[in-house]
Amino acid sequence: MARWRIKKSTIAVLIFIGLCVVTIRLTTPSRNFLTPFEIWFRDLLAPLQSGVNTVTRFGRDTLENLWQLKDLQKENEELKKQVEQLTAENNLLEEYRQQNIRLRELLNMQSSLSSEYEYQTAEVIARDLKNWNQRLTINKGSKDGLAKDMAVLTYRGLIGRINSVTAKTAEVILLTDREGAVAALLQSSRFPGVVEGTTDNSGLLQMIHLPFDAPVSENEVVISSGLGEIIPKGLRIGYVVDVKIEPNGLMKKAMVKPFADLDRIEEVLVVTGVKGGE
Amino acid sequence: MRYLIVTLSLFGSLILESTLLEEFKVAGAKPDLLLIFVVFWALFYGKVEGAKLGFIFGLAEDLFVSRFIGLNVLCKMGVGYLVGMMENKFFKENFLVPAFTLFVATIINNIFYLAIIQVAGVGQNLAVFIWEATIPTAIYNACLSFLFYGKFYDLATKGYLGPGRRS
Repeated sequence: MARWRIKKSTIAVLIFIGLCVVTIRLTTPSRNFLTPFEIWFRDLLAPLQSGVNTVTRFGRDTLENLWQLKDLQKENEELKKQVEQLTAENNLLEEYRQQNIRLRELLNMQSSLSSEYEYQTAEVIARDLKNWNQRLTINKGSKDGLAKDMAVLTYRGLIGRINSVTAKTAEVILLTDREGAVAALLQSSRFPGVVEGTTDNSGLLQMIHLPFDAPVSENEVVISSGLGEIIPKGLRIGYVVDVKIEPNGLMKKAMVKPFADLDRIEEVLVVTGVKGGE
Repeated sequence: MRYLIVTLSLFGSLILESTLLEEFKVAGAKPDLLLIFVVFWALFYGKVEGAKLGFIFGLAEDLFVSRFIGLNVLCKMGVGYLVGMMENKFFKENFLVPAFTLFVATIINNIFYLAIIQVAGVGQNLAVFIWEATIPTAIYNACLSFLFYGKFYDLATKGYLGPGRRS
């Protein structure tokens, strides 16, 4: 009987093992379905898993952040230094870029002017202490062939004339200065006038001595007329932005916006002579 | 009370193994909390109780991972039964015994695992990985026994666990 019991339990164990082997073979990862028990069990634990996982991730991230804090501080300091260095480099490069653009424009202008004028390039080295936007000093002087009353331009247009020279420098009187008036011409209608500075700090010029019936319109270009033999004829000065009647009612004046930004001049061209002229 | 503790241990182990313990892998291995509990249980309550709990925990693990259902049932039942045979052969106050038992039991569990998948003719490509992870897991489990055995011992000696107490 005992032997029979042993056999019975052994058979039971073998049957159980056999059943397990069958279920193992039936539940390989490649099967296409889950049993309801598996689905129920996994769904039961899923919210708990999700909660613990969130807490775990939060804890891990917090610890990692704390762990990395010192390194990050060090890295931050290094990066700040790097940023400062790169900013300085960038400023320098930006400076070069801007200078490059201006010089290119100047070079273009030089090529267009070279058939008509002789010129000298110069850099602005100082501005007038009291009225800095009305007179400035350039780094070329009589040694370079500069003389009083020579026209001074940027690549955008006429900005003024030389007022005085030393051997190595020259003072430029800008169009906006009270003494910087030049003889001008409306480009399309050919009406002459005088362009001078205004006193309202608007940065505009005014073209005066225009007859009441002169056909002046906005956006009309104003150029130098060459009268007075100080400034050569045909240099661009600005364009008309407004037309006003003079108080006497007989004349009118045109407000002119200069093509050149007179507040930001860094390189200039000085017309030293007219080709073919004396 | 014991059903509550066993159920919490079962669910807690499954959840922790699938989440938190991923962060505490050592040498690519994480501990087998279910096996630790089955071994402790078998050491205290014998081979039949060990095999029963091995069946329940193994089945739960198989359903949870949803593959090779029956594999962990057989492994944990076998381990529970074998470890349970030591029930009255050591002083339960000696904390080194469960640690050493867990080390050996983990190796046996994985040998069973390998043998059964060979017999069943499935998952052979897992063999190398399982074997490579066996020693680290065995050491890990043995180390954790120092952490958990004291608590288990307290609960067991106070009668909160085991087949003798009903609540």
